[in-house]
Amino acid sequence: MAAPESGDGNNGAARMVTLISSDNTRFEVEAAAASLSQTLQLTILDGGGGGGDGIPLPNVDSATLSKVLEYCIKHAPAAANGGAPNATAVDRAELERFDNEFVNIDQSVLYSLIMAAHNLEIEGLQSLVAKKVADMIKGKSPMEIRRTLGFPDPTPEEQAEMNAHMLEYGWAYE
Amino acid sequence: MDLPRCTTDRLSALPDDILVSILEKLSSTREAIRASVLSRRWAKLPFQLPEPEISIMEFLPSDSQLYELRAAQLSRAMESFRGAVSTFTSRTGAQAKTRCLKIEFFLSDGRTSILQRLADKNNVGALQFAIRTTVSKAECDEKLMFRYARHFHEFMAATSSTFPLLTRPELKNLWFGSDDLVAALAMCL
Repeated sequence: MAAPESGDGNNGAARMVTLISSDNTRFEVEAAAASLSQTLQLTILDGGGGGGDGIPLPNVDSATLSKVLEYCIKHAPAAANGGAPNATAVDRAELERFDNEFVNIDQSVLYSLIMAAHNLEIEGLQSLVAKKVADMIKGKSPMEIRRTLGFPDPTPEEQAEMNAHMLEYGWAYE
Repeated sequence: MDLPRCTTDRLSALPDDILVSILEKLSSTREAIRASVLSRRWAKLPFQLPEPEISIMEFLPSDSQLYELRAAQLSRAMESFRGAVSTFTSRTGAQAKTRCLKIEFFLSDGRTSILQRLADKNNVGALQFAIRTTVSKAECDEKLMFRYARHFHEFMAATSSTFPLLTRPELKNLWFGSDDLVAALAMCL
């Protein structure tokens, strides 16, 4: 599929679209970046989001949207190359460095991000955040997981349920 | 570590399929089960994993050599393995969304019952088997080969109703005469 307007990026003529967050902030980005979202891609292909219209995103606040777009802008060139089969090792290493740093943020922001990535169908971003949260859980004991994820210490009743769980799934704890 | 209350609220606000996508990124299905100790809601999540994987290899002592396992180590591992498989096969109805259960186990006698159960219940969409032995190629003399051949025949006979569920049978460290292979493949149809 040819996309002449998202060519070399130096001609300044890349097609732009406007996204509007739940708190009414307008973000203008290249269509190629916004199209990382499967949901938005359809609207954009239909010619939406240009001019003064803008695409409203009632489920995404401006702080989250700006973070989402930061990811999309960084990943758009590689995505335009069809998953970047031609990307150099340097490009890939740079994206990896960006990704690692990108998810080095507060848990509450991670959860907002993964929710937005899910709603907007940005597979790479959802996978990246899921991996980050999984890494926070990996190799930890049940109590450590609770504390890491901010659960309060268990009530006696919850503790009894945890014990029952560990008994029922003994094979997983050996 | 004190996290603000709203952090856990935001985590709890995530839909099940996002939480399941997090469990999928853990290193094993076993670890997903351990993480599901968090709450009643989390306890249900591993059963929504599309492709849980259970391997006998996870239950072997970490310092053991595959070809030098003692009988006691092996039977302990088998017991855990059986527990793991039945965790995923004893769920019924809407609770179970397992599309493909991937299991890896050793070929020997007396342990087909659990696999028979897989086919009896309609709670697993597809199965992926990796069947292996505990002896190395060098050690496998004719006597052993004959024994494994018998085990495999018994296994196929006992689990014939399971075979049509198989999407990707994988046989490791096993040699076949062409008749056996044809018979095994025919059962998968």
